[in-house]
Amino acid sequence: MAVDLDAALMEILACPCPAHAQLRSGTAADPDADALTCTACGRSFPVTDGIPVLLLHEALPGTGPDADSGGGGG
Amino acid sequence: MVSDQTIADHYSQGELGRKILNALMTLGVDPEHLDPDQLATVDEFHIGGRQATVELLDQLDLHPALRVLDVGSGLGGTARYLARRHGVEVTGVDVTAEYVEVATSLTRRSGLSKLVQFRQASATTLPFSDGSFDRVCMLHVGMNISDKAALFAEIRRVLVVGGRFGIYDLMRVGPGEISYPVPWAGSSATSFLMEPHRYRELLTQAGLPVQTERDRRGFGIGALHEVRARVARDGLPALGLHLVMVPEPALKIANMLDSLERAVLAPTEMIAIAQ
Repeated sequence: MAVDLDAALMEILACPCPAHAQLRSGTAADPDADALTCTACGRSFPVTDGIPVLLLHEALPGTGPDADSGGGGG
Repeated sequence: MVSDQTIADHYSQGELGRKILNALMTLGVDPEHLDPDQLATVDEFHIGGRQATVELLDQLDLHPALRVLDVGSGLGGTARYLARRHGVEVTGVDVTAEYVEVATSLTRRSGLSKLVQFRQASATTLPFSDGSFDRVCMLHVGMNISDKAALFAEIRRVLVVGGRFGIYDLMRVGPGEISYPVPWAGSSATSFLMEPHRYRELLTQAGLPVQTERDRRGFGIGALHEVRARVARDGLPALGLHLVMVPEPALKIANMLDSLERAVLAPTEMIAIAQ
């Protein structure tokens, strides 16, 4: 199921990474995934029961700047 | 450095939502149609409860349609009160997953989901664009955050110029040891208490000069004695903070009250304005 968040909230939501860039629904691999992905650092964050978990160390494994080394957090 | 997870672990218990719903049903309340005021005995997790919330927020010049961020929103009591009393749009952030989950559930059951939302996030890396909020409040949170310079820099970043920031934290006002556990920490390893003048310095450096400050030690001592007298007289209420403050709620309260009475700690309010 794709993430369906309030439009006004999506406008203010940003990645917790230093760039604080916009988040998009889904992941790079699956646009319909229950996740939000940063347009700058590439980290994907899980959305659990409709609640985005926007913690750097809980970014989905294999996403973000450390993706090549297999790490996901910051 | 203490991780967010260490702090979240202190506050997690795994069955909080169920305990609160059970208590509500014991009281004959329909859990699908909650009156947020019925939750005030359990969802205002700071000294003086709802009264302390009201008195802090009254200094924030709130009016409908403002965007408010509640940092360390816990079970969401302050956030729901903000929406209901002042008609503002509220976003709450907390590092504890269980609190975010319970806060979201209680808000839905109170019919306030359109105005109040919660995110699991760290106060020192907030997941919002610059200038996203007109007001920020933070009640009994700074004691768990070691890097207050980073905290205040983030709060300044997400506030608009002229936005207000209301703090209600326990601050160190005198020398002396503190006995643990206390409600916010099991030991000194996760307790980061700071003097009011250090708060003011760090806030000013972050572009958040303090306009007013109020020592609430007397109010806090009175409120804690009242809670203890009520429990001694009537026993534990069905819906009370002992559900949240596990284990050893009585010992945590006693240690906190002792630190207030010896003038080691004082609940303190500060109102800062973003430059």
